[in-house]
Amino acid sequence: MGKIVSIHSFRGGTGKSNTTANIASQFAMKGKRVAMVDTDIQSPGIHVLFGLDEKKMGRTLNDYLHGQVSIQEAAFNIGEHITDDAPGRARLKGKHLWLVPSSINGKEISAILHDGYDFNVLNKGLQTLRKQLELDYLFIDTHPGLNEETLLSLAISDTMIIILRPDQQDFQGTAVTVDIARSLDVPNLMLVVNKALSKYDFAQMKADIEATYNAPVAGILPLSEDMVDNASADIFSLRYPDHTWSKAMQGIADNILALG
Amino acid sequence: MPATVDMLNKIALLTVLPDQTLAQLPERMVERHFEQGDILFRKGEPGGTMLLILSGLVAIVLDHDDGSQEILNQLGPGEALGQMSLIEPSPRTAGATAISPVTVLELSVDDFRAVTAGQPESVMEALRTVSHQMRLGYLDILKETRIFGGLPEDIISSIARKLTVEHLEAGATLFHKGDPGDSFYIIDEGALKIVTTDAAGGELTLNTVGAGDSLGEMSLIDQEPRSASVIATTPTSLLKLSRADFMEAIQAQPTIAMEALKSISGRLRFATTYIEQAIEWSKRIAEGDYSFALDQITDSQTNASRSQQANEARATELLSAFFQMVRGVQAREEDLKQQLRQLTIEIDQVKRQQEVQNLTGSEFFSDLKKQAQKLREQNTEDE
Repeated sequence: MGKIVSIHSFRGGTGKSNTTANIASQFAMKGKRVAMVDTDIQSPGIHVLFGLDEKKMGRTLNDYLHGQVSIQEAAFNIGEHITDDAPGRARLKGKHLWLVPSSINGKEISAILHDGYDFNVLNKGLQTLRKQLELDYLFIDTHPGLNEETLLSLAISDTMIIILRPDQQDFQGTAVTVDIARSLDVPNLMLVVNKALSKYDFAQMKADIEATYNAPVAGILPLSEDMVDNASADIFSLRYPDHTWSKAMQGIADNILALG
Repeated sequence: MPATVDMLNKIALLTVLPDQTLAQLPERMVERHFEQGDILFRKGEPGGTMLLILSGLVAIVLDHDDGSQEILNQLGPGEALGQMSLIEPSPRTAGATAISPVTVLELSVDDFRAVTAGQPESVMEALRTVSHQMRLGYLDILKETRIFGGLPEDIISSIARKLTVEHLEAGATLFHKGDPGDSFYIIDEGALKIVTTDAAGGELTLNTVGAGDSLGEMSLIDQEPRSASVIATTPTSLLKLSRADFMEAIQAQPTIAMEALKSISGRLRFATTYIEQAIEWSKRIAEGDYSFALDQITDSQTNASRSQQANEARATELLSAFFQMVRGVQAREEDLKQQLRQLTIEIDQVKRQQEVQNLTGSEFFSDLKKQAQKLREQNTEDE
């Protein structure tokens, strides 16, 4: 049965969407059947990385939560609809990768935030998706911080990935998150350090962070000007597979895969 | 037994004189005998005679204040003591003792002057030059070089007469890489470094030379520009021989060419050893094996004097200095990294516990947990 992996961070700006997109893509390249669900309704971010705008997107998670469509209808089949010429993304042609995007329509966003949604509906949708698409992995890109929806996402996850930057605010917030995740009995917990300055000794950092949180570090992603240059225009680790950042990303994917 | 012109022609100072003049000397020379242990003269005694050894051995000695005696040189048949006295009588600069029974022929300065009275000024000038140079030890310096060392006294004397002196302050450049090579140098005092520049423009010491070493043979032989720059590391004095004079010396004595070749060959062997060692060291360091380099690094003397070190030892010494610098760079980088590498993770544990407590202790959370439990059960059932 497909594993549910939540990608979470205490604060925004840690690179969650980009990381989710890259990890999921790596899994898809390995032949896995993978879906991503962008539950960050307030600030959706994954669609950009796959070249989707409002016009190309089709149906969204919002539509599903509003009961307008089934979850399958909201799942955009990336592998079948590679249209643009982004070289990284192009490699996903024919692979099994879906995205349930969040709407970027301002009105729709505020509507959901105002009305809220029943998490059970979301959960049902995730379970259905898992079965219907025969997924090996389902990645949930959560909203940052500890709120009801994210906590529930954690609760139904098999694996939780917490992304943090090597930054005091992230350190403190991640400590609380880790404790909460443990109190929710999340089976697997891994940390990903993003935007780490290359001057740091990564091996030392890994050891220090693992010791601090008593949780494994799946990988450390270096702060890369090349990444910034990419500006979310493509899946970096597919476009530049030999880049240090991409190699670190491949390592992270392998570590998550190793969990089973 | 009287002196012969041939014998006299082998004495540095006298080679300046034409044979006819020399022929006048033997009749003015007085034979003297000494027993083993006899003192021929003491240091400080007024000079004024030259002694040509016919048979036996004479030690040139220096008595020290503590009573010990240092033997500076040992002269045998055909060799002369006190040549300089014939030009400029002055107190003996050292003592002379017979080590065996000795027979000498003595020539006084007065007789010498009488015989040389009619000589042209050029000859007198030459006499003064040789004497001066002998006083300065140039002949000795030449004798100690590889190239000229084994040559007869008269050849050495003729070469010595062509030497000029150059003085350099510490840090001054003798010649630059690429300069036309037009002279050959022998180092009298001091030390110099032979340098080139590396790819980044930094100075790279290839070798060091000191008193007794020679420089510049290569340019004299192949006429290519200087292959490296030479810079004095201490105040230095060198004896310089022009290319023309060097070539003339080779014509007069072809064996000099062979000796020059041997000298260059020696440098080549050194270079090969140096390169081999440099490659070895580089490999080790590239593998991160600095301990090897550290073991080899010793305090290298930058003032390498008349060095009898084997090529390998010499190469090691130079490479030590170079890699010490490399190690220094690496150490500085490590230090820098060390300073920056400590990413401090400061968790306010109290605050952490409080926040967790706030959340998990709330009713909201316990409801959430129940809901989570239900969801999990549901999901598991549906599987």
